[in-house]
Amino acid sequence: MAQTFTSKKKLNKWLKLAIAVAFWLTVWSLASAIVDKELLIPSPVVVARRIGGLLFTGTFWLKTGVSLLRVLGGFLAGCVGGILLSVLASVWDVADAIISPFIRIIRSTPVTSFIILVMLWIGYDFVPVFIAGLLVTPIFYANLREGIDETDRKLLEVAYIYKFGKRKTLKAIYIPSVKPYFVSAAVTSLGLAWKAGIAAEVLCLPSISVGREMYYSKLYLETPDLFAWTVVVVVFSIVFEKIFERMVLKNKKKEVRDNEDN
Amino acid sequence: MKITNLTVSYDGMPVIDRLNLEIGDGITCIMGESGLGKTTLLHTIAGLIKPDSGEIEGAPVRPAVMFQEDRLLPWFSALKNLETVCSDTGRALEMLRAVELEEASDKLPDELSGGMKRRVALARTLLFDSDMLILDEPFKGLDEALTGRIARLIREVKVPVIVATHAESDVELLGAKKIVLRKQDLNRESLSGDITPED
Repeated sequence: MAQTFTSKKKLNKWLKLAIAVAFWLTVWSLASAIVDKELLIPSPVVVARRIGGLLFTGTFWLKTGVSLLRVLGGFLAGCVGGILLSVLASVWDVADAIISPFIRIIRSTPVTSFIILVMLWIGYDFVPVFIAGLLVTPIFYANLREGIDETDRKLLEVAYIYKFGKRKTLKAIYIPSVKPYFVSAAVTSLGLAWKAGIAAEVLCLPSISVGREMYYSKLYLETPDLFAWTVVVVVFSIVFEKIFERMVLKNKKKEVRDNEDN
Repeated sequence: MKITNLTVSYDGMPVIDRLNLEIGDGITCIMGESGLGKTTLLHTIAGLIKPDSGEIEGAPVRPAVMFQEDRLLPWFSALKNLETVCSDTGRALEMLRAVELEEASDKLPDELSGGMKRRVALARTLLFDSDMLILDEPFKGLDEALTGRIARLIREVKVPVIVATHAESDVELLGAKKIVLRKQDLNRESLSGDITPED
């Protein structure tokens, strides 16, 4: 009975998704038909044909792969940076006074300013890595700071009374308390890092990159190509998010299993 | 343990004012109306609150505290909560059996009733290798029969035990000495003066 209910729910979910996709594809097709200029709005069929063509070229996978690696590198660096800075600022007031204004500046400065500046400082190939990291760091920093601050003081008193020590307090109290904040930061920043990384590629044109392809599509007025690459970026952004959500879910299930084993 | 001229305040407001108290070995029940400062006193004895002035001679070095709230780690099962204070799983399971919760060992605190959580919290306190047990309303949420069986466990403890309670019956059940705290200086609205233990 429960299984039937779950599969019905899943079917509903897919049906809803199919309806939404069909609706927006229709809107796109209509807009393209009304404008009737491929240069401005190519039809979904043309774009799909272009994506199909791209998928069978080796360079597509190479370019997408290299762009992905750049963004993931930046994401991981930003994640580690955010963790380190938030821990440092939480345990040391002086560090907090130094780091907090720096984070505020990063958050309020337009990404383009950073891209242009960083282009002058380091090699073009590394700008997207740096930019992705720079955008991700404040998100992790703010979320983890909040998580650390919100850690239940009463549980910390338990740790003090029962002589947990630093390592056990970290493992048994801080990490589980901060985990939801970490997951939320990761989900928010993953898509953002990908989009900012591609934007940086468009501006600094690293030799092998999705951003370079998008730039040249625009330059040579190859609008179907521009749409095709944009669709690729969107699809990867969604795939990232889904993969991460699955990882979180799997981890949750593992935790429940671990508890049951005990 | 001898408490001399103990003063504890929150934001400049004294909660305990120049308290003098002697607590001997065995089980001692501290009684008194709500809001008098019993929990503050217990937390000060445990070293969780730093007093403004005064002295606690013979304060515990490794107290085991059962807090007024259960304070179980919500992400750990009942058994794993016990294992945070004792790495010997066998002993932890034995303690869960003693508080009649063996079957709930894999349950998270959220899946336990109020009384069950209370028993896990007590089991954690009893399991910790301590030099004093400090129990803040240990029987809250337990039915009469269970209270009797749990009281037996507390009576078997070899170290001094301090229990904060409202119920006169707990004193009898635990075979404890009784100290009644009173609001002796109503003008200051604080706990003060000398309190003598009543056997």
